Amino acid sequence: MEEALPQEGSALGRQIRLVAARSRGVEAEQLRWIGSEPELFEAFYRDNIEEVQRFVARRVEDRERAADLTAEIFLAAITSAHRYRPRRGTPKAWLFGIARVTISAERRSRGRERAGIERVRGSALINEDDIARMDARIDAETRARELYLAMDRLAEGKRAVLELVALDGLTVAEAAAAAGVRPVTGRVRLHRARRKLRTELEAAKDRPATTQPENEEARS
Amino acid sequence: MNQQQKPGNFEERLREYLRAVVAERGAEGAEPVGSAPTWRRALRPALAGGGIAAVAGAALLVLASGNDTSSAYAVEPQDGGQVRVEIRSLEDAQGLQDALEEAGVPANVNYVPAGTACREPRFKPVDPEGQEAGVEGQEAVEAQEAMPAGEAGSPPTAEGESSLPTKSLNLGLSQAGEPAAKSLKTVFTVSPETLGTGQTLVLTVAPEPGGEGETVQAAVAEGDVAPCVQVPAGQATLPTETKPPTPTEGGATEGGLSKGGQIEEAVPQKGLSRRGG
Repeated sequence: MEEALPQEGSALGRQIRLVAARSRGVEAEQLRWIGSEPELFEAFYRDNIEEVQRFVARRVEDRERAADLTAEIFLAAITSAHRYRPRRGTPKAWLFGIARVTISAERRSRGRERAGIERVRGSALINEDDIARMDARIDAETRARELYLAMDRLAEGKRAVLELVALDGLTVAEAAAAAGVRPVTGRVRLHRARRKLRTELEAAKDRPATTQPENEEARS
Repeated sequence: MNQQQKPGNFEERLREYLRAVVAERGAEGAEPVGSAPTWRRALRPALAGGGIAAVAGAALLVLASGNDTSSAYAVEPQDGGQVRVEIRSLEDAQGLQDALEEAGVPANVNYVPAGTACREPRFKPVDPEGQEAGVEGQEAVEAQEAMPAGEAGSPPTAEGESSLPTKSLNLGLSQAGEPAAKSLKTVFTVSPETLGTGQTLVLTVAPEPGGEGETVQAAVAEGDVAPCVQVPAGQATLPTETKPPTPTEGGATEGGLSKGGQIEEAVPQKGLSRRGG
């Protein structure tokens, strides 16, 4: 009888959840607790830290900024995990959605102080020993960053799905979920964004590569 | 943050830093503002509108359940972010519980034999005192009946902190009938975001002794929920209030609504939208 089994809310149930998370990774139904259960968060972090760092490296060339953003992305995940719902997409799509919004918000407001946004100085955690490894990851994503910058020709709303599909390898459905739109809307936007970008790139072919707007800026 | 000296690499130091953030939040019980009160706030009016008895911390629904159909339950996420739950027969409580979990509703589901209940208290109900005034039940009732798909949910989670979910529908219990099949089911809708971290929807369902319906007790627990220890219904005390058993007022006759001190008020079944019965 189910009454004899440990129930969800019980201490034992919670323990089982944690053990399961450690062995199988944090699954969708557990994600909403990562903001308040350190063990669960740690499992989630281990699952995703490399992916997130690569995600950032596909967009950001500067090592310090990348470290700051990586920290901010996880912090944003921590503070919004309780609103995650499995039907809105996979944990990965959810996290990528957060990552994308975090980075694009940071880009838009660079040079300005972002009021009300909690800052973490992830870059303060970098040691000498980390540098080579972090730079290698960034170097590996040079092509992706070129594409990312090219997408600046697109409006913010249009580029989300394309970014997540073309840069990050999400399926259209996942990307739509991450961007907060329905799958059918996602497909339409992807199609339009691709077409627009292609046209723009053809037109710009002969022009020399623009200087990257992505460079270090002292930020508080 | 003065962690430069700590051992390990960047990823490990960041992990420790963030872990500390999470631990702090967990200790503060930081989560999520307003959700628990919202639930309670809307629970009662929604139930009253549906002709369902509500006692502080618990809600009871008596209804007739007809001949049964294929699967014992259904949990269907709706476009608006709610989750529609159908209980067709009192089998596989664990399955329903798992399905609810999957839909983002931490739940504790127990089916108990007629005339029994789970011994109370077995959890701490969400604090009714924590409610803020302002949102009236009307909202919930409307939401229950006329929730346009896709409009009442919260903005995409990916949009970050600014997107607090609309506080509309919480729990609407209703009864639905299928004219053709002549089957009546327990149907209700839950908004996952109204449950805060560590809160659990507790459903305890018992068939009516007369075999003509079932009693659904719904509550929201703060923290752990102890396993159900079955006791005779009259002996289960409510967690928060010691209300004397109130005789049902003219209503609950049809379903053979049992004594059980938990029922404050009930409405005749014909008051519910029963079709084809």
